[in-house]
Amino acid sequence: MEPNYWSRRRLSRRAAIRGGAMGAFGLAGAALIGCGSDDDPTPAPGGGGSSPTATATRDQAAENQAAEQAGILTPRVDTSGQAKAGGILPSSRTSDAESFDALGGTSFTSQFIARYAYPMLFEFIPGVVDAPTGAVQGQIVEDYEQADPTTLLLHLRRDVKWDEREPTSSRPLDAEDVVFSWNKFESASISRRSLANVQNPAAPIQSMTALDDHTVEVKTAFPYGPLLQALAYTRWLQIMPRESDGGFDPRADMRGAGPWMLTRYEPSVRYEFRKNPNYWKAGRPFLDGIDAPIISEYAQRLAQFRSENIYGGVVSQEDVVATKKDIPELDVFRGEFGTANYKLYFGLREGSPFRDERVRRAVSMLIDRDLIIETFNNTKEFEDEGWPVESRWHGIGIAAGYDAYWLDPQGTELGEGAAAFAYDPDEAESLLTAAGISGPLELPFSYIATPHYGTVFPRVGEAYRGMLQETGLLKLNLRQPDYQTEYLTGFYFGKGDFEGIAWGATTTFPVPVQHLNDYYHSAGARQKVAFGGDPTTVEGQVESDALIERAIQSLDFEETVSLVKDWQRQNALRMPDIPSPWPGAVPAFGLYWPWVKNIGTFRDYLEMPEQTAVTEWWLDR
Amino acid sequence: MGRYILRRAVFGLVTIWLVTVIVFVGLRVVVPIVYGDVVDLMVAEYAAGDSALEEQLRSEFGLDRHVALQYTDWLADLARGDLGESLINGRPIMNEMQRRVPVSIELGLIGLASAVFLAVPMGAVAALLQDRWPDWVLRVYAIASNSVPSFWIAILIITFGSLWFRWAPPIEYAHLVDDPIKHFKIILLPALLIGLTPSGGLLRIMRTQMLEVLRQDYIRTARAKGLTERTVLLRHAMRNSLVPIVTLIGLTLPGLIAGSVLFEAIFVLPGMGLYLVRSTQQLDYPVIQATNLIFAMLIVLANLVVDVSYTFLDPRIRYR
Repeated sequence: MEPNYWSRRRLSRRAAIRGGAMGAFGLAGAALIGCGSDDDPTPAPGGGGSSPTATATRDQAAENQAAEQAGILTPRVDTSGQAKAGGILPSSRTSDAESFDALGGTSFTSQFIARYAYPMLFEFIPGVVDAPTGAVQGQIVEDYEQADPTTLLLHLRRDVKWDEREPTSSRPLDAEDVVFSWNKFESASISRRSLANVQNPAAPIQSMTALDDHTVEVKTAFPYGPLLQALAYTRWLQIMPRESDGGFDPRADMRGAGPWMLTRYEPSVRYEFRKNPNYWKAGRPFLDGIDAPIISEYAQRLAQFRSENIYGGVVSQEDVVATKKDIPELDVFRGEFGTANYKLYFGLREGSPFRDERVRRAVSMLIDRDLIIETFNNTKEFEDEGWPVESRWHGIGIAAGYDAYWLDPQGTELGEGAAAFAYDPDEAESLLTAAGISGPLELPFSYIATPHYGTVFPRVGEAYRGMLQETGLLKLNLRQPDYQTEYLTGFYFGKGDFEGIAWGATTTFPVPVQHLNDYYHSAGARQKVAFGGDPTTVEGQVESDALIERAIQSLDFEETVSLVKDWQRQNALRMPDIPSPWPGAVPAFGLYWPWVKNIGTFRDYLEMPEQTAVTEWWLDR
Repeated sequence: MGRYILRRAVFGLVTIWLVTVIVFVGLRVVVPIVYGDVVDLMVAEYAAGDSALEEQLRSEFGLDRHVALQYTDWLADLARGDLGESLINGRPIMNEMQRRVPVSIELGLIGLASAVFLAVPMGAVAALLQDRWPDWVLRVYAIASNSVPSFWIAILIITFGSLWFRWAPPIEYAHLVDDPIKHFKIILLPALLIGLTPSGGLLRIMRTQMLEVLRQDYIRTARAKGLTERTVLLRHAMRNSLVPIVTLIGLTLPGLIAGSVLFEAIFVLPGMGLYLVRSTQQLDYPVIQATNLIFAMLIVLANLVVDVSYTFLDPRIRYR
């Protein structure tokens, strides 16, 4: 057998896997690229993701309170009443945006930057003190009505004006801007197949029509439950002015109607955003602007933070305790559980052992989830220092951050399927024997070695490989495909048409039912569970598809939640793929200089630091 | 000499032209066959399978035309001083070059100058004090500076600066013409660090050359004529030792200019290295073509200057 983390060092399992983690930490300065991740690997003050109807458990609340009393966590207090307007927030970014075109750009980084300036129809409501719930409210939409299950009428605010600079020159935003944006999205966006029915029959929106200057009619091809969340999702339909078609180059500049105006951008050097005087929310933002130098090197970001040139959001988890000890006056906030859902998934060609659910379940039972969590989240160091650490196991298809939908694999709600998550090599061996497999099952184990999913990702892959081989039941031959030419086409979009097991990341969606539709429905664009998209190739897939269809078409939130929970129960034993406990199983800690007020209080949903909640931040210095 | 320079200039132009052809064909013909083209990269992750979007983008970028036509168009634009626009963000490449080339050249020149000013006297001292303790110290320095990556030293300086003194280097880049003091505050540290690695090699060459030259008959003759030791060393020994140093400088300079990417990343400098790396990751054809063109020109020019400079250092060298 090839040497791995276990065999080559002859260390204890815990020590051995930690060796992998520390190696990864040593590379923390390298750039993170790809998978639509934002360029900043550190959590937002509110956390790197949250959940619809997120509620901290009572234990967690008590633990937080104790930590606050012990002076570790900073109490979250709304100080808006004492806010002083003015000041520039020194922030940072880790890479250039490829373009500022929110709808025609070919990278999600474009949309993240564009969101500083461009508005959306709806927005996720930031949490105030408590975690955000994932609920949405109108942003430039003042009011809306569901005329029938496939028709949504949007009434736009009348006080929204575009940027005062030419060519928009403070023109009021109107329904034609929305229609223009939709048409551009439909024809040019890299995400159009997720939303535009004309591009993909499985996508919901058929059309957007201006009924008058301030009313837009949205027609969907079928009832679509998460429509409002979809219209609040940064990666999809941002609203751009008609003048972006010829009046200015939207790739190089922005003319928005949101809280910020891009006033300077020097590639590889810095962004400067200044308060938009036309912003419709009275008295907001408090800050006059945000300066964001582009610092790709972690050591430099950390040094700038320690030297008070950046006010927060840069310290990696392995440096949090040491930095806080060294600079006790720093504020500490703990984020939320993650909504990313990384997976181990299976080749499902004819003859693959993974068409048998017992084999998939056996693989799941060879994974020691707590060990992975401890190793790759540095939890022991936090616990030794008395910091409040809580961990969860991600469920099938539903990351632990989606509280309302998530069934705890360690709890009772998942039923007998919970057994498939337990680390139980003996039971795994029994399952393999029952499936007719005797002796080691020899297979390829594939993941990318390049840092497209961050520098820790390949280390986790190596740890999985070592862990799965530890009992001798599996013999995994390492394959490290090229990301662009082999991994994406052959594995990620391969619809099960590969051999062995693959380890990979997935895209985060604003609501988990969209994730289920994309990754677990046999017709989903990114599905990995039904060979070639044929639901009959894998037992239980037809039933799974039906549940997902009902969930995504339901306009009743409670019903959707109930259907998603049913789906998890149905699929826990089937184990169509194996949810990885890394990343997102442990809320991350963030460090901030104490003069940035409200930074831990207003907490953005999903991946949107410094865009909605930041309008509430203010400087007391 | 004039004819020699003219002939070398013509050869240089042919070399540059060949480089453009190789880069163009490599990028637009070979890479798409073995890897995929820029559009494949753009849509791979988020819009895979959207063939209409791929077609639309290829048409927009002119990639649906024959590669020979694409090349002649590029050459025609180049003749007008237009390097084209980035396929990724539409920004004119000439604007970016005007901003970035001076930064890279300045980094390279200051780095090289610091290396030379350190290495030449140190190499001479090491030779003069051969096998005594200063020689050993300088030889250890030479090996260490060659072995330890200078970007790592940069990270140590930044890390311990912030740990011990809450100090971090300035990162808000200012152009030389806008604010010279601010400009040098940000550029001096990385430039000096860039010079660290080549200084080791230069020191060793200088020491070896000096040792060789000091044993030559003409040095003994100079001393026998009663010249002062200072004159012997500076006018006769050092000057003759500099020929291989100049060769090495010529070879090192383009590498320093092109290879400063890590320092640009660490110190937030808008140079060409990061631009080339990023555009290569994205297969941004016009940017890769333009940066390679600039680098080819720099290398040709540096070699020409080195060859011509020999005549000033060694009167025996004549070009026809």
